[in-house]
Amino acid sequence: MAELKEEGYLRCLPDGNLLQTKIHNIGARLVGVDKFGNKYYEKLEGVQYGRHRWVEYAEKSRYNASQVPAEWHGWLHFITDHTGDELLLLKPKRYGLDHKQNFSGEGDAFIYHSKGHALNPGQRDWTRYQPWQPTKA
Amino acid sequence: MGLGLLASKAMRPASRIFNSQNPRNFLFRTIVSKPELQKPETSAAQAQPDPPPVDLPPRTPVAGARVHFPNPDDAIEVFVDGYPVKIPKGMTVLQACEVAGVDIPRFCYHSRLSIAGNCRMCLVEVEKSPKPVASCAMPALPGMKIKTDTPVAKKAREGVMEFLLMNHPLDCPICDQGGECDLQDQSMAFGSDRGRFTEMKRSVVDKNLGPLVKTVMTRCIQCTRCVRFATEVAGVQDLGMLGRGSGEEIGTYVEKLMTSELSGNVIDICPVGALTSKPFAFKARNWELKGTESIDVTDAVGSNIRIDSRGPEVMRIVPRLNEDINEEWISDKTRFCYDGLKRQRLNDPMIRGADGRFKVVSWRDALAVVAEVAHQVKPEEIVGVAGKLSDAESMMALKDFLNRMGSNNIWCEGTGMNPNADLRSGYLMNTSIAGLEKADVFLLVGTQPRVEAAMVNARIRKTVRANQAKVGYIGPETDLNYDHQHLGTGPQTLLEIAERRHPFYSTLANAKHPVIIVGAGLFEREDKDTIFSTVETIAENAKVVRPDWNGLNVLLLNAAQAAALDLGLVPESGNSIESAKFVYLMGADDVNLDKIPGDAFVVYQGHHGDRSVYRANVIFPAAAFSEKEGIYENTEGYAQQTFPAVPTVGDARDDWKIIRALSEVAGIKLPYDSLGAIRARIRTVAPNLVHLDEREPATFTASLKPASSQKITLTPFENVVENFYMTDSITRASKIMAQCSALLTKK
Amino acid sequence: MAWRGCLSHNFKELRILLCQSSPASLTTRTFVEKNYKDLNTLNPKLPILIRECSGVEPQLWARYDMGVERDVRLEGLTEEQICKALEDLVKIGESLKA
Repeated sequence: MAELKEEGYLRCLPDGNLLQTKIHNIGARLVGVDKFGNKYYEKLEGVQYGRHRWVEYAEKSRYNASQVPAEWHGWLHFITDHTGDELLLLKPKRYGLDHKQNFSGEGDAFIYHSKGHALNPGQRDWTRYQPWQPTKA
Repeated sequence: MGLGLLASKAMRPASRIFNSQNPRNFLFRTIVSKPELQKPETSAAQAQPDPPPVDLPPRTPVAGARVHFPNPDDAIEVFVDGYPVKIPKGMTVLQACEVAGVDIPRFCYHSRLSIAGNCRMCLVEVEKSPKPVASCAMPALPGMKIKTDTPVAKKAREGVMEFLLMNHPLDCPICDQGGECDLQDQSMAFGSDRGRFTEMKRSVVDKNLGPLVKTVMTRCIQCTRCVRFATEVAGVQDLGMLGRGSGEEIGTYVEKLMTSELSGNVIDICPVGALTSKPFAFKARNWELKGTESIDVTDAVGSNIRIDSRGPEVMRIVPRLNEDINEEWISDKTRFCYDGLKRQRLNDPMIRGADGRFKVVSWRDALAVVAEVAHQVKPEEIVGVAGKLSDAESMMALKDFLNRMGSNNIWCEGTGMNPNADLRSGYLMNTSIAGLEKADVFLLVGTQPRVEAAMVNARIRKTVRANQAKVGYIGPETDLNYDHQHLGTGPQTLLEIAERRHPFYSTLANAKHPVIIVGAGLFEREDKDTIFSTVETIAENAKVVRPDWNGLNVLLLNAAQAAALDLGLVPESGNSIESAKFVYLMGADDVNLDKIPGDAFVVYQGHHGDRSVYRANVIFPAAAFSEKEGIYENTEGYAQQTFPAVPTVGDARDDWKIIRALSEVAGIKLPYDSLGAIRARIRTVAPNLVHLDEREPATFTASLKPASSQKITLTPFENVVENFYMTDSITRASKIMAQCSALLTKK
Repeated sequence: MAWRGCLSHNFKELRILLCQSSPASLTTRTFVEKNYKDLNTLNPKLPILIRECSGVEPQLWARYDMGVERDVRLEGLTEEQICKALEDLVKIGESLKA
């Protein structure tokens, strides 16, 4: 029963989109899961063209399209046939950042702040001089 | 090609007329003829000169300059753009146009260097001359008619600019000189709107001139200003022009660094971005910077500088024009010491705890601790030492505070154990720095002006070149960038000259304007009074000191010495520091810390954690020269003031304000609260310090002094400044100066 | 003139401010030229600071112990009067010490 609630079946009642997704999931092939938990399905026969690939988001109550990471975005939008697990290998290790969903409207703690902004947790020290450090002699 | 262009230009408006009017009338041309053109006499009548345009406002010289007439009856008159102007004989056409208020573009001409005439940008049209004339080189003859805004002159400028830009790289976005580049400004003002160059541009290999000057020789326009500067003003013949034609390169022929102390000035002189400041490379654009006019304190010359700052940071230091002191040049130490202002700064008051480590405290606590200790000590055990970079206000406040506590032992670093501050002529440069130009014989005693005061050295070199002045030098082996005779190494030679036994004495006696320069390094010797009286004897015998010419000078080492001696910072007893219990070091880093007894309470008030901080018990953070408004007196007695360019660092305060606060906490409140009030107090002690931007000459000469009876010791004179690049707390904290002293000092 | 020898007992510092060329400081200038050598020989340790500055009124300042200072305006005084003023300052110094 707890798994059902976790799967979001309870959320289906107020959320019609989720209900439709769950109905569409019947007979569909699970292509992959990304690190956030979003599940990607594909159903090729008996489905209208354009509706044969879709995502079921991990968080059933607060979901939006920007939660899809870059590697699955191409597959999901029919740009490419390479799935996210394949494209994850191409992600640059040195400078590749983690994917963040679009936080606009969520609050001051989530939006971007410049390096000198007071709300930036890693605020840079802008003092233009170096204070005296006694040498250890 | 020119005629064709002209013809096509003439054709175009005509074709427009043809197209606009009725096409059937293209065979008819309106007659354009006037009655004056028909008669031949009128054309001859028009050959006479046009009367000067009466409705034009009177012309003032460029930049408000004053014209100096050496002999007023020798003035000639020339006509610049129809306007008559009187100029002294011997001036060039370019200078005549400057007097008339017309600024002619130029690249290679510089008013302080010899004339080269190789850029050709200054071409103007002179009547009765077949081709345009290089105005920087052509002497102005009487009755010459100079025209600077005719089509010929304009075309010449456009042509020269086009040629200069042909091989010039498209570096403006990455060039440091963008925004202050002569080439940019003059091409906008005088160049044509488009270029016609479609071939490949040439490029030149970059030369390594040291850690100070960055070279991108592709940008060089071969104006040879740097070559002429190095040979003439700096005295080192490092740079030269190699090759011919488009393959010309400026460089040192061998892999040589520019070690001269004036090498940074080529950065200002270069009109394009070929020679730029390496520490300032890619740091800022000139329009972002706020310039503050201030005074340099790294040596006693007091060169006028402009501190360019962006926000709280000093980005660079550039010279300001002051004809009397530094002309347009500053030494490398002045120019590049600014990054020492960002390192090792004291920003909070600190007290040394019982474990020997410093703890940050508030101002209130620090002042309370110091005031308490000051009252526990006997008055004769209180000692104050003013540092090299102290301004007059802070030294006045320190002296007043210490005097009110009952102590009379306060002196400035570098003035020696018992300085004599009675007669001003005994410690100032009595021939002013500008007056050195009139001299024809120099006697340098125990001073190495090249490292002690580079601008004074530049002036001596200028005089040696112009007047063929002879220079005699007494001291350790040193290299000066002009011909000099090394007369000896110590007081022995001085005695010989005083007794008229030395051959140099006759040169000195026969000179019309002899100059003796004594170094301030002699202040540290015990027999300094005798040496000075020997020098005074020489001055008297050779008539160096006369009512109209005082040639006996002292070259001071620090920016604070002149003001200190003027304010009377003379200790009561010379070795009071050895029995002191309370020592107040105001920026004094060159004090011999071993002399301070181990149980003495030391207060250090300064801006850098240099040397004396390690002995201090309490640290007061003060403001550096770029952060305070203070009066500094230079070695010739010229009082100038610095202005704050950047805000103070951390919790630091002005020096005199700290002492004023300390005096209030200690219960003996000093009577001044504002800068005006403390300057009024200085007025009662040394009024020449508040006469800013004026030099007060000393009238009482050393003849008033009683002769000294001390024995002279014959130890030879020493080098006072070992490392030119590291002399005070700011330069010792600077990375650029460290690089310079590693790479550029001669081993 | 025995008091001239004990200047350094009473003063800590003596300052003479004068103008280089104005007629008001003429007597002060002659006073300095005549007496400086004397005073300096008798009191070698006393700083007698002579400060010239254009446009300044001639003044004689004496600094005593604990920072107390007294000044005398020397405008229009003859040399003997300047000497007298110096003597007065010496007396003030003695009274301050007592």
